[in-house]
Amino acid sequence: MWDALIVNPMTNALLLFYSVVGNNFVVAIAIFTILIRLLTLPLNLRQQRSSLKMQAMQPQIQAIQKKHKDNPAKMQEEFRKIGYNPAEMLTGCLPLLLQFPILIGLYQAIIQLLGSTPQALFELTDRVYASVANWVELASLLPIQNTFLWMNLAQPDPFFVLPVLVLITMYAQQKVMMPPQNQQSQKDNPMAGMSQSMLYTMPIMFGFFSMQFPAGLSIYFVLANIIGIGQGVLTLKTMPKPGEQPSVPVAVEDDQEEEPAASPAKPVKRSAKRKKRSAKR
Amino acid sequence: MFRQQRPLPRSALLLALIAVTVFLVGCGDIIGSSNWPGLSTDGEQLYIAYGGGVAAVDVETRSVNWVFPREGSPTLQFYAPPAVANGRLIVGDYGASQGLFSPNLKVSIYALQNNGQQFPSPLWTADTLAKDRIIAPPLYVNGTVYVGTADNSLLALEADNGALRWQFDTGHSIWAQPVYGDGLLYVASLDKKLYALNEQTGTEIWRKELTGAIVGTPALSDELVFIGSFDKTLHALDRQTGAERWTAVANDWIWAAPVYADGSVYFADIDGYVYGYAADSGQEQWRVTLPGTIQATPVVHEDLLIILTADKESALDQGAVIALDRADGSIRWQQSNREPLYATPAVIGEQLAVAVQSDSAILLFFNIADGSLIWRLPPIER
Repeated sequence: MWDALIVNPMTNALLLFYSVVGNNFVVAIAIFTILIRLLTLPLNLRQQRSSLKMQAMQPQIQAIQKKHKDNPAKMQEEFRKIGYNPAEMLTGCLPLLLQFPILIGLYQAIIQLLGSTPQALFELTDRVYASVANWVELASLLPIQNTFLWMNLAQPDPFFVLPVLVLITMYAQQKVMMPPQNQQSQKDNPMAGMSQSMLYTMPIMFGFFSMQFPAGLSIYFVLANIIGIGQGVLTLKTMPKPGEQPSVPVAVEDDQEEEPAASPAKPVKRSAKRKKRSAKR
Repeated sequence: MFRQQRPLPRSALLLALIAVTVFLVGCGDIIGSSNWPGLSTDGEQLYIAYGGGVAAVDVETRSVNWVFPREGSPTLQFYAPPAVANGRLIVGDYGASQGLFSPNLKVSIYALQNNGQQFPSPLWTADTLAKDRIIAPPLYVNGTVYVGTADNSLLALEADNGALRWQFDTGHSIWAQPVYGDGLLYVASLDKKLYALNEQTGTEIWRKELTGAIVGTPALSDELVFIGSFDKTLHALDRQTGAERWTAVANDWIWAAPVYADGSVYFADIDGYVYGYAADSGQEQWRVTLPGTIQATPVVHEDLLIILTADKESALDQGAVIALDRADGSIRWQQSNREPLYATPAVIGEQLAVAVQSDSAILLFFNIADGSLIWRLPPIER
């Protein structure tokens, strides 16, 4: 099932791209990466926007949590009023979840296609669809050219260039994707703390594992990260600036000590203060 | 309540991501190193290269005499069976990882003094010459060891000390054992070319470019060299010039090496077809079709042609050992096996040794005359 749904389609797609671009496996991986990024673009945009929205709402969420910590029903009601849905967190994480099958599938597809063992190459014949095999003239296409610059694409990069690139680009992507926040908000907001820790742990982890991965997979990481950086920058540009952001209606009647000490989400603060003023009147 | 729940998805994702990457790294070694067993024999012992070692099997006592290396390593793998000649064993490994912080493989070629039933004595080890795994069985000729590597090279080493005499680079991996005849070495590469090299100097005499990769060892007659390819064609070339004398078109890719015997050449394709041709004229003598694919090189024994098949789509037995009559391709006997059979078998005495990848056995031994199962060797433990 896994092979039929994930690995084999990826293997065939890579093989098609490889054939179309004149037997260059790195270019085939690049096209594949762009395609995957395009397919997941709506989800990625949604995730980034949701993340920014959540970030902006944090002061209100915390205020509600603090105020109604003993009354979950009321808390949920207040969350509903400000348009906060905890389940949205999960849908926001969907692109990240989607990365898992893509990564594992692509890893297996690369190993299979580069056929670094007789068994892998022999089993490739079972994975390639008959129509694709005929179209690309599989017999003349194999074996896949597995060298690129100084690298064997089926082996890790011997000079660690790719692991370093993976680390740098992944850090840059995380940085771009992460909503801006100050130290105080990190202290108050566990989600921000987690994002902050992921900002460092993910690049280091992937950089480290790229030392063991086939170079072809590391190239996918680097390209995907670069596209992710571009997408992140674009999303930030198209998102409403904090000053332009429409105020989120806040139903909670907040007082001074419940208000977070310092929050970058100015529209929210203004909205809360307006509510407070109107309550005094 | 929500405060406690909120960070969970992210941390769970982080943990899952770590698990996935660890899985990928773990699988890298498993996927990269799994392969079929390789068999060779000197007529007295059977040598099997599989997993973490090379074992010598005594067919008389039905026991394992020794396993090399003595201490196993989880990262060390063997696929190519050893070359056995002149009291020596030459074997190359699949490469061992040098730790988490080193992406390079350490690939070693070992020369061992063959002490028969006793553990072999190490003569020398060359562990800097090959940069990628050794899949092709080495060849030992006239005091020189020839080793094809997955990093595209054919290495010629002094049999006495492992010193490099010369090196010849091709355009892709070498998976086939080179063949020697009258001062020339015939080397097949995945780069779709067959090379004829001067045995002494490694100088290229001629090359023949085909339209498909070559994974099978060439076969020699007195005048011709036969080579099968993914181009679905058996090519008969002049041994001295590489000129094509005749071709035979198969139904599918030719993976298994062709075999030459008594004026006939036999070959098989991955669609289950087996062919017998007159070697000189290229005249087809017979063809038969068997269920499944044929990847293992056929073996000639007297008037029999032994074929191993693999049929992964079969619900019951996925493999078979089939003995064909060399005269007309008719089936003389056949034995089914639960697992598909990919490894080239070996004949030792009157027994046919067939390697299997199962939990209950690593080798099956058949009476080559009638196909009856004589005994089975369980998986080898150190």
